[in-house]
Amino acid sequence: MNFKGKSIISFRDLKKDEIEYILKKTYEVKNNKYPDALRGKTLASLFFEPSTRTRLSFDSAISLLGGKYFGIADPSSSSIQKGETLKDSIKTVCGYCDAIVIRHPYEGAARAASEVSSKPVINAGDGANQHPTQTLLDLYTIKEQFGKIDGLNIGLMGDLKYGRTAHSLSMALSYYNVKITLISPKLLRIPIDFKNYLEGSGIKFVETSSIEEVGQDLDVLYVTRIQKERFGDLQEYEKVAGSYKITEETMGVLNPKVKIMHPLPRLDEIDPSIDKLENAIYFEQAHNGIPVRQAILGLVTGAIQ
Amino acid sequence: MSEERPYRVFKIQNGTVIDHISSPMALKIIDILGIKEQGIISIGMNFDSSKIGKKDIIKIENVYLEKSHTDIIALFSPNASINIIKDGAVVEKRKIDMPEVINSILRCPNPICVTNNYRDCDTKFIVERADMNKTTVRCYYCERETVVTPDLIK
Ligand SMILES: [Zn+2]
Repeated sequence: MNFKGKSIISFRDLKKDEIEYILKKTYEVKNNKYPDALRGKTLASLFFEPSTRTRLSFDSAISLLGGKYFGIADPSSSSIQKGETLKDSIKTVCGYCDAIVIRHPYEGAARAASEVSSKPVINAGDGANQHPTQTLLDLYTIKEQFGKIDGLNIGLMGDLKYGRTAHSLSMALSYYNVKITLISPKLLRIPIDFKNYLEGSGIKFVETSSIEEVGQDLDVLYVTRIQKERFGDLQEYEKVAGSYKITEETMGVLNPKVKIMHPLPRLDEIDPSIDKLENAIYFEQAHNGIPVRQAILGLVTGAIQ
Repeated sequence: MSEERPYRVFKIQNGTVIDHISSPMALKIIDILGIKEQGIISIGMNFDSSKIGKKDIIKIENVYLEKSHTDIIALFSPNASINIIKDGAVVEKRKIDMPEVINSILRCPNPICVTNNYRDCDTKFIVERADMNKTTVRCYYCERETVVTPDLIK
């Protein structure tokens, strides 16, 4: 499979065999099959909005395999403020690097960048639209834990209306033979676009407001944050959000073997007392960001075949 | 029959006739086709049509529009038909088909879409579903789905 020169913008562009190939390469990278694979490669890391974790993850990914990076970390100093066109910035930068990572508040910015770049572009988040490396590391983590993705019952809980992570993961899971359980307050149910997409893909999914009803059957519970701003009334928020938090008490209604995931950073949606349990895999999940991004950088630059 | 009269009023010898346009879309369609400056154009509006109720007609003299140019009409008037006239006779009659991709004509309703924030990013939409009177498109950039309405024309 040839990924050299290919941009990674959206899950819509990835076919199942390509996803599987990236996951396989991630496994190999994690097991040290490609030490120093990115030596001599330079990554331009263009963060038009702050996201320390994602930026650090990409920067360490390339450094640990011997490559270099340069970038814009402070959006106030970047050309976005000066009215330079996005395309001109990209055309300039792609002369100095082997791949570009871009995070941008405007949705579709990574796609627009990839159209004018002579080097592969990796989308590290465009507004609420896509963040494919996050989704790939989510899939990788599930596969690493269970040895497979097919056959699992995967719960997505929290803000399913606005949450990019949940949208993107549900689209990716539709390639697999899984059951998706969507758990959210009525106000924050998954948008109709995504429901249409899931229905069209023939995947099994259910929607519910109650974790108690479905908790025993879940293999994975992917928790996302419910933001206060989504509610007009703070009291309503307190009342609703409380039912979607993971505490030792909630653990009682869940399958004892359930694995709990979270894209991090979290606020209070998972109680710190959960961290020590074997069920909690969100830190391992975050660490998987490194080998996933290394595999992708290696593949698109041609350093890994 | 009274139906013959309006047709004779602006019969053309050579050019393109766009018939069965849903009223009152004629002016919008001239706009999106970008043909305003291409010679003499006659517009008839609000004719009775047994097929679609009220219809508009556009006749463009001495211009032969290609199919790829006219398919965009399907967004606002799926029943429209095209007649190519040469020396007073219809030499080609054709339907319009929904295009798969729509470049430049529509704006994205998403305020944080890149196409609304950088002047060098033009719009592009993928047609996802097209029912009789409802066309759903997806922005190629921000990936949001929208039902096409006339106010989305730039
Ligand atoms: Zn858009």
